[in-house]
Amino acid sequence: MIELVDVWKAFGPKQVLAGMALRVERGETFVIIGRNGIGKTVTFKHILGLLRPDKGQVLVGDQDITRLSEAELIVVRDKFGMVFQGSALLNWLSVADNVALPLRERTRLTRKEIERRVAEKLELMGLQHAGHLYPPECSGGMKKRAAVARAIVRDPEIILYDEPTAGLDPIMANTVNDLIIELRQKLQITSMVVTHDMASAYRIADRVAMMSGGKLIETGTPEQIRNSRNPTVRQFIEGRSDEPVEAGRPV
Amino acid sequence: MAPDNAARSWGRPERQAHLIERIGEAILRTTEAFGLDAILLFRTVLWFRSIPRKFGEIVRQMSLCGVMSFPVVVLVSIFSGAVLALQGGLTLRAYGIEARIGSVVAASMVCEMGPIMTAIALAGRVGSAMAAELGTMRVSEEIDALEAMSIDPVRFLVMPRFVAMLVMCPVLTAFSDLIGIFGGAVVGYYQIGVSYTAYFDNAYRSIVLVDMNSSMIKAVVFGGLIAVIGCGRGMRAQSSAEGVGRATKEAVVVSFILIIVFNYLITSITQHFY
Repeated sequence: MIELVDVWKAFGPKQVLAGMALRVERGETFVIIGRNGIGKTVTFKHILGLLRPDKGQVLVGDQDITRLSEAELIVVRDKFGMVFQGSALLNWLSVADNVALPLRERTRLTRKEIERRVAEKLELMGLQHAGHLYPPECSGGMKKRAAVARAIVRDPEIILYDEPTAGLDPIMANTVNDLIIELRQKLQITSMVVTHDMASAYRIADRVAMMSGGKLIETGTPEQIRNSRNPTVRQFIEGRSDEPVEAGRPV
Repeated sequence: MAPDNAARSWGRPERQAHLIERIGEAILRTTEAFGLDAILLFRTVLWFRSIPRKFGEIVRQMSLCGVMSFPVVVLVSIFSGAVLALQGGLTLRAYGIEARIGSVVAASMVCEMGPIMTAIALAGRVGSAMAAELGTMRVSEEIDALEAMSIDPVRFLVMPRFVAMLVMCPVLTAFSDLIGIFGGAVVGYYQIGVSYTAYFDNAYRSIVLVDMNSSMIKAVVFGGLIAVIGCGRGMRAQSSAEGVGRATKEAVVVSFILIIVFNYLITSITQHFY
């Protein structure tokens, strides 16, 4: 379970999170939608303990991670896998070495065991023949799948996806969506997804939340969000630019 | 604005306050940057215990920082030695002691020119590359990804570069000293008319262990400085192309300044002790 309780965070004069509150249940796929620069990625960084809030609590399980030391946070982060928007693969390592990285750096597994786990995850992502390639030689879709393979190689309890379908063609975007659904079904992983892609949100989410003004302004099932009467939500999901834009405005 | 008006305008209290505020901000920013560099240095040294596990990466960095920089260092050193021989030779010829040019070149190369020219070549080539590489990794969220995987970027990225520079900077400096002395010999022979035997005889006799120690101490300190400044500025780069450019420029400028300052300090200290 992940819970944010009245979280506030400012960078200089810019208030990014202002009373952010959410609760994600175990095994759930929770999607956050919202405009660019609204604080979605900052929310993820708070959940990972990479940023500390100015005020409020971030609970992972029963633990308030805002009170933990850096050493204790490392143990908490081991529960997570994260897929970054631009995949964030290290260019000087092959795809297989990128996937093996968390195992080599954070475990004492034997080389053979690491190779076995990497091969297993690469196969799950359909990358069994691409392990020797380097990120610059891969397509956007391959990089994204490699990033997912790296995120799940340590069998995390929770995966955070930052714009998983951004920059992908519709077919590849659907492949990534299928992947997220498949991971939840196969591995019972709790997922949090940040996206602008409404088709993707409706397809993968158990619940969708709209973020605006530093907090969630509406949360519901995909169907409830689709039928929302909130004007900010309606404007975002319909992509209308014909009326004053409220979301994304500096708070 | 007329000169009188301009002078009056600068004299206004609000202008003076604004100027003092900007100077204060610059001092605070610089102090903060050096403080963060010092913390990075401390954290890097703490990770020395991981040297055996990161040995492969250290060797890779030694190749990138050292071996690939060798041609630049060779060029810089040859011409440093050559210009020392030419300038010194012409001066000494006026006193009829041009045969001593070997002493002048060898002492200058080992004490000052070798370490400084190598460090400046490395700051320009390696320090800037470190800042650009780590800055780009910051922009493309690769450093965030390492942190999200509980991998300390200081251990994974900075320590191997730092250790590689600690090793390769002295090695390249030693080569630079030798190559500079050879460069001086060629100029001494063809332009000043000093035989190779006289040149190398004087050169050999003028180099003392103290100078070589000082040269190596400088090389180790400069190597560490270049790595910490390059990596630190890169890791703290703002997430934009402009931010990476600024970090790269800062890494080179700050390294140059620190190399000159520390060169003076180390020379003073070694002279004092020996």
